[in-house]
Amino acid sequence: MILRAKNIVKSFSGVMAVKADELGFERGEITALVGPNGAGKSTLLKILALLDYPDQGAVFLNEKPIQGHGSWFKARKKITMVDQKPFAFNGSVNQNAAYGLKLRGLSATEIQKRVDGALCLFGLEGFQKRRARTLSGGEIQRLAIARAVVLEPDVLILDEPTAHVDEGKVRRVEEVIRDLSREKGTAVIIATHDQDQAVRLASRTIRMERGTLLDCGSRVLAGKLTRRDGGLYLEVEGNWTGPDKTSICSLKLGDGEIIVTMGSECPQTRVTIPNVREVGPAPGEEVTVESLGRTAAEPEVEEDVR
Amino acid sequence: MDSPLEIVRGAEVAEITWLSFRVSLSATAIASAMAVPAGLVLSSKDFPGKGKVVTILNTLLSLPTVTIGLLLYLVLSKSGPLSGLSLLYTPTAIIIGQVVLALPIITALTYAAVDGVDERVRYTALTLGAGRWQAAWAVLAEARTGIMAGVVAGFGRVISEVGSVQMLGGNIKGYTRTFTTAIALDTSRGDFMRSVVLAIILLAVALLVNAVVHRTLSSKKNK
Repeated sequence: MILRAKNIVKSFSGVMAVKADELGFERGEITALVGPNGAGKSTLLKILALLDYPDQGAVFLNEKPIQGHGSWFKARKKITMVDQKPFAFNGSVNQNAAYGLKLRGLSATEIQKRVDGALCLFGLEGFQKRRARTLSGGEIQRLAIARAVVLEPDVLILDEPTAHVDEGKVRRVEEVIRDLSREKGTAVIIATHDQDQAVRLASRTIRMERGTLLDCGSRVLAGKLTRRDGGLYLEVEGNWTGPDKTSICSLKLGDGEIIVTMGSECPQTRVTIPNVREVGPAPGEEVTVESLGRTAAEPEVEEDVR
Repeated sequence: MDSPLEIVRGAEVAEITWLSFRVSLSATAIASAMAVPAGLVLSSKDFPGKGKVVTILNTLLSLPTVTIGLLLYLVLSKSGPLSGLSLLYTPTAIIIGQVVLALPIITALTYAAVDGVDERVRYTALTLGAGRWQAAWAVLAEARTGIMAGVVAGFGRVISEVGSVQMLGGNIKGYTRTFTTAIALDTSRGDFMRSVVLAIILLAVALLVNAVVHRTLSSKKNK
């Protein structure tokens, strides 16, 4: 496990902002952190990015506890965070993108090579000499992500990474994030309000409410989509057993298969995939199935998909 | 009476110009080395009594220069605690007085400049792997125009200072005579032409320093 937080507690003026008993992130894994405003997502991200100290608990990088200023400084070189409010230093786009690489003492040739590559990935090629603060909000956000991605960190933390990005560029940013995770083994943690984005990108979803992690056990399962008796049925390979509170929160229909993302506040420890008769989309479409959420009051049941 | 050209060509004017420039620049450099970090710390750290420190700092901006001259005179004179250093009536004494004068100006303006910097500068630098000092440097870089304004204001204050320079330097010809003390002396002697020429040279030196600073900042801004 590349990054782990244990028994983390953070309060502001006596009000608990974050409480996380055990939270870990693997290499090459994309984790979505979802929840309403004020749920404590940003506070948790800052603690994970070593930008804020928890009142209690510890953060581990490669299973080693990060303690003391020197240790925090060294670890911070491997963990990079992009804040939800995009920000550019006073200087050119090129200088902005090169900032972190210069801190790491890379050669000028290597820096320029990596900067050119990153700016190209985020559609900012040709902007190198432009003053960064003259860019639009969406461009500055893409620059901020490029400035982080170019460092190829072990852990990349993104707080609402596409909140200001033009709709047409969102998928491109997501592709880069996915490629970074897959090719470089970067553990990516994304806080997002966009449930669809969480489903598209993440292999795991964590829900936060009032500082508490409601669900750390979400998984993506693959199953087969079949049509029978005029309805659409989902058949999942095996049952999913979550560690705590789980239920289906969304479905993503692929070509001949269906991916079910688990994750909400229903108190199910064992989930079988319910009938999706009412959904009825054609394979290839993406749908969010809200009606499948069972309420906490309902008894735990197993439903057969057939 | 000498013509303006003869006055400018005179050996004493060159000595005065060089000494004024040297002591003022030295004092500004020393004061900046202390005041810029002080302004940065004052802006970025919260501590009990911070408001009072800022109030005192702003009050020191209006401190009469003769008061500083008097206090330092008492410290450096033969009956003072630092009499053994024999600094009174030396260029070093002038520099000490000018440092004390420039310190609150540069500190206050640095504090104001850094305080106006977006807090995300430091935060973003840290997220990209900067250490504490590197993040502080990033903040200073963002505030550089305001800080340089403070340094230039400090230089302007010390090169135009007469009270403490007179008291601590003694206006000794060829040794501690600066623009301001020379102008005061020449005016009292009725040599107005010489006073005006020296005043014009003083303004030219101040203009030159400002032009260099402005050019440096402009070139960095356009990069």
